[in-house]
Amino acid sequence: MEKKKILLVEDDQFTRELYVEVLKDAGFEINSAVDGLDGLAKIKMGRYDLILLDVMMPKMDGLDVLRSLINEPPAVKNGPIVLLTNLTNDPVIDTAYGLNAKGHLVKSDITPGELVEHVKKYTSESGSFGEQPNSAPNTN
Amino acid sequence: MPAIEELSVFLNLQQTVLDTKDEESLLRTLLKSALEELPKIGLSFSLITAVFFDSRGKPQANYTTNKQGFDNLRIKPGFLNANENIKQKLLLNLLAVSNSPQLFFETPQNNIFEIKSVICSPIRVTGTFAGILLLASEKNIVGIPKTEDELIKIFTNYVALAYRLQDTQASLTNITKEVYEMNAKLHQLDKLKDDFVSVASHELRTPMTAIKSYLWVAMNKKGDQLSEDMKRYLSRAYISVERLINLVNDMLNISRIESGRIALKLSAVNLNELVNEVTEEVTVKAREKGLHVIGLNKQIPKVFADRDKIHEVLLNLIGNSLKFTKTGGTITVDFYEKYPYVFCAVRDTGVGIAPENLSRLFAKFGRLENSYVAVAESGGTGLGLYISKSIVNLHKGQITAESPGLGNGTTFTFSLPIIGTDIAQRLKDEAPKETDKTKDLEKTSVNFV
Repeated sequence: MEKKKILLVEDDQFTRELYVEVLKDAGFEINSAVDGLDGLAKIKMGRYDLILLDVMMPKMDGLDVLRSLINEPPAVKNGPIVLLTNLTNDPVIDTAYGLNAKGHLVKSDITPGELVEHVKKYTSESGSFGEQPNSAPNTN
Repeated sequence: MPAIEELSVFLNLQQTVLDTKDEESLLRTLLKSALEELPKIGLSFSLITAVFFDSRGKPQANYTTNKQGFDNLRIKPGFLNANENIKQKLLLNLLAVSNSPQLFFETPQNNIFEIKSVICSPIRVTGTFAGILLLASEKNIVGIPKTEDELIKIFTNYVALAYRLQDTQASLTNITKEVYEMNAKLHQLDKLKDDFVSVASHELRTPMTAIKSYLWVAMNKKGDQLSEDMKRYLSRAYISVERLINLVNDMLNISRIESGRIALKLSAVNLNELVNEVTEEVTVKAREKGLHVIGLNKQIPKVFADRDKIHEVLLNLIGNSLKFTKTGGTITVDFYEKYPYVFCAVRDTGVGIAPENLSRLFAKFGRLENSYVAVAESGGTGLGLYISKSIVNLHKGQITAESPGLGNGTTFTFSLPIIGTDIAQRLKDEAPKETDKTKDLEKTSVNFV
């Protein structure tokens, strides 16, 4: 079976590297971005089955990433975007849902094991975006 | 003896004082009215001035009213020192007359003085010398007859009273203004504090998440065999970081509760159902520890409460009982009705509490020495009961703890208003409503290890 492809946009290096490692071990193909701008550029390349997006990040925050995606939808489609944040009870969460976020996970509340479970659930709900006959030619 | 006319003049003056809505112009109004009224009883003046002194004897305010043609008279600041014999009389609380008006007044145009005499009357406020009333006359006054002396003294008392009222009003206005300003400042500070707590907790969570996640991976990495010691070290570090995360959440909660930014979403709540929900949630943990949790389903009326928040309270109380009860023990949730409240009692067969410690339970970080180990192992924060009490109090209920002593179990009881009662209506009217500034409580996970 084709590996599900995930993009992790997270500015904290230690958190990012651990999540990458854990998700890789769980059998996902994972790519990461270190801030909002980097994340947006990678999202625009498309074909991610799931995007995990931090909110408070340098250069461009998660909400602005969501806004730019609405203003300029990428040519190549992606799977759902789920917020991966440590903000709780914050109006930002509601705003994000209004900007097409599919869900949100609170990092301090979950273990890496639980993260893997959530990622499995989200990726099994959505179809595969890894190969799309109608999309731009695969550059790989 | 004051005659009828004299009485009516003073009644008119009194009415003037009473009718004045704007207390800040009280003195001016009184003096103006006196200029018209006093001639009726033979006291005709061209100008009346009330000068008040501060505590160091410097003139601090003066109020003047005058007949037409006497507009340009200005009081001389040092007039009292130029009239030594008058000063002496005034200090003895006697009236004094001067026939040298130029010692009291000056005119910019250097007009010819039409004033011949000035009567000086000492104004005493709350028994101390506060100022002088100057009554300027076009007549040449040599002595003041006893009746006039008396009338002037009565009038001076009116002036003193008006001054006192006006002064009180002015200080009240000032105090009110200051209180408003202070209040605004406090609100600003409160918001700053809250913003700080919010940002700080987010910043704290980032490294805590990294610690928690790395520890979890260290304990759960497949294929790596950990020694028993290593497992213990890692697990204790993991529990501690969980506790830190809980602490941050509880501090956020307390910051919100204390700044009044927790709104209640009130509805009719069936406590039996809610308790069953919570007991189910803790069943697995309870079984692991060999404890029974029983909710006694009793016929009780519905209560008026915020379901989620009472859920937190129950989880906290039952969680506490689970922490402090040894294997084989029982935790019972009982109910009883005592109009207009339903009481919910969480009773355990646990370690109990010494009587001298009962009062400290609901304080912030009020955990007890003998429970420290259990708390350390369980990820407790020492804030749970404080938060529970705050939530129950927000509902106009009470929370209490009882224990027959160490080793004999503990019962926590809280009350909530029955739906439809007066107290429920008051709760509905007075409970903090949801606004864009209110937030929900952070969930704190209950860990029982």
